Amino acid sequence: MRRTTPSLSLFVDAIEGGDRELDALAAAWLPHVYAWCHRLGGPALDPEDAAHEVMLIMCRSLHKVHAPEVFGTWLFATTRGTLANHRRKAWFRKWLPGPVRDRPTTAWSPLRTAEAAQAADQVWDALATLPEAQREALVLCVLEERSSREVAELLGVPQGTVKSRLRLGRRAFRDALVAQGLDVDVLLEEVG
Amino acid sequence: MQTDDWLNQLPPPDPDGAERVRARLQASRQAPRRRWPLALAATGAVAAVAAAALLTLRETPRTEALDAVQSVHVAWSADVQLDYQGVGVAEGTPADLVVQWQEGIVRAEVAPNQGNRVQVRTTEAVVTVVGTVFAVERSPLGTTTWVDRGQVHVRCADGTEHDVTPDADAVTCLPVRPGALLGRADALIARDAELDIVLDTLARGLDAAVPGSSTEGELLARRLEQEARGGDAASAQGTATAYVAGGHTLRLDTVARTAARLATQDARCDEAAAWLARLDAPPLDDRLGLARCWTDRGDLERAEALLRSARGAGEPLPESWLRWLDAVEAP
Repeated sequence: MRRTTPSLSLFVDAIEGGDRELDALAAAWLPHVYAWCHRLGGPALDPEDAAHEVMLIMCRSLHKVHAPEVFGTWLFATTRGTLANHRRKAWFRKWLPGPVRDRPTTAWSPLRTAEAAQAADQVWDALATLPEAQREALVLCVLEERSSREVAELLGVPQGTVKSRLRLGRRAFRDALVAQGLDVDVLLEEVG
Repeated sequence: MQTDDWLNQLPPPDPDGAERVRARLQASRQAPRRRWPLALAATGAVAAVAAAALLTLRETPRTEALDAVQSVHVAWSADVQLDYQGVGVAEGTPADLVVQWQEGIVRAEVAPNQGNRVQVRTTEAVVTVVGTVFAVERSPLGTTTWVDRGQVHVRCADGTEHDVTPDADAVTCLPVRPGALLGRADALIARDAELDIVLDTLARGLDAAVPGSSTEGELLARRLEQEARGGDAASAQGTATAYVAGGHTLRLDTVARTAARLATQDARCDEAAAWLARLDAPPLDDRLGLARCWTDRGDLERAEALLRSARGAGEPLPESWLRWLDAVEAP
């Protein structure tokens, strides 16, 4: 599903206004942040916990963003950092005594077939092997159907870098699928 | 777009998830903020202990084998983080790391201005960095370096040097050994790379190859295939001749047949015949191509002799050629 960046004026209003304007900014960006947490965090993290934390940081630290044009970049970087913290916590949690948390299931629709779930697991695994920069490029450009210019603004890197990461990411992703023993072309036909 | 189709197998975000987060967010904002003085004090104590341990370990050299099919994260030191997928060896002190990288991708994150030096070395390149985030991929195509943050210096084995920044495209150091260049050519061919790039790689390989070596023979055979693919019959003829002159035999069958076909396409029937004569048993298709070449040129006697010989040996000649023979032999 194609996502478009919310209007810059929402940020300006939130900086100059009160709680209502801040709510409007949060409401506009929350679906984006939630989708990033879901897709970049993978199945091992709870996207709701991560998105909640990102939005809290946003509400508390909005004044640190010096220009509306860089708000998207700042929010994405905050999401990235928050996900990294959650990954560390998830790793640390494994070594602590106590009840083991269930794998979050909110992202998994009960209507999905077992075959689709298996395919998704394989894609998650393949995606997890990619360097973070390439994973981000694939998620933003392919899954969220954003233009390379838009992604470059979000990531705060040149457009050429986005294209390069996307190209390398596609290749690495394909290689990762093949490394799992998948006959990529054949399975594509079956899925299709 | 095949990878994109696979990516779309991922489940979409839960449509109600964002709404639940919004409700939690509103509840959190209304609640008073909690303070964590004890946690902060504990964190400070742990950090102090970790810093002391780090200072003790800073100059201790060690070696670590890197070998992983899936991506693996290694904290080499507090300032140097590695993610890799492939094979190599990391050695050095926490502040001075050298990664001998053989195959796959290694990504390094080095904290700037901490006096750390990290080098990634492959057969084709030496990548040196002080404070940045960068990655090095070694594959049959060569060694490719790209930078997420900061700047790295790349010295390729062919003598070229590059400074790579996030703004610049990735830099690829090409292999220098003939065998590795043959591997790069095969990888390029498998990826349907542009003909010029493949031919350039093969030319580099032939420059570096020992005359008469099996690698030279393989490189010449690949070049002939590619020249034939590009329709450059004259160059292909030269390559086929070089193959034979070099005393190579492993792919003589394919080389001679390809050269013969190209010659018949250009009505150089005698050359085609000479190439087929190098084979113990030239395939019927190729001999029929030669017969066609001769008939087109008006040299009916040689075509007839060739076809008679095939018919006499009981080979399955096409009906059109059998009729042609009957017509020629009719009084």
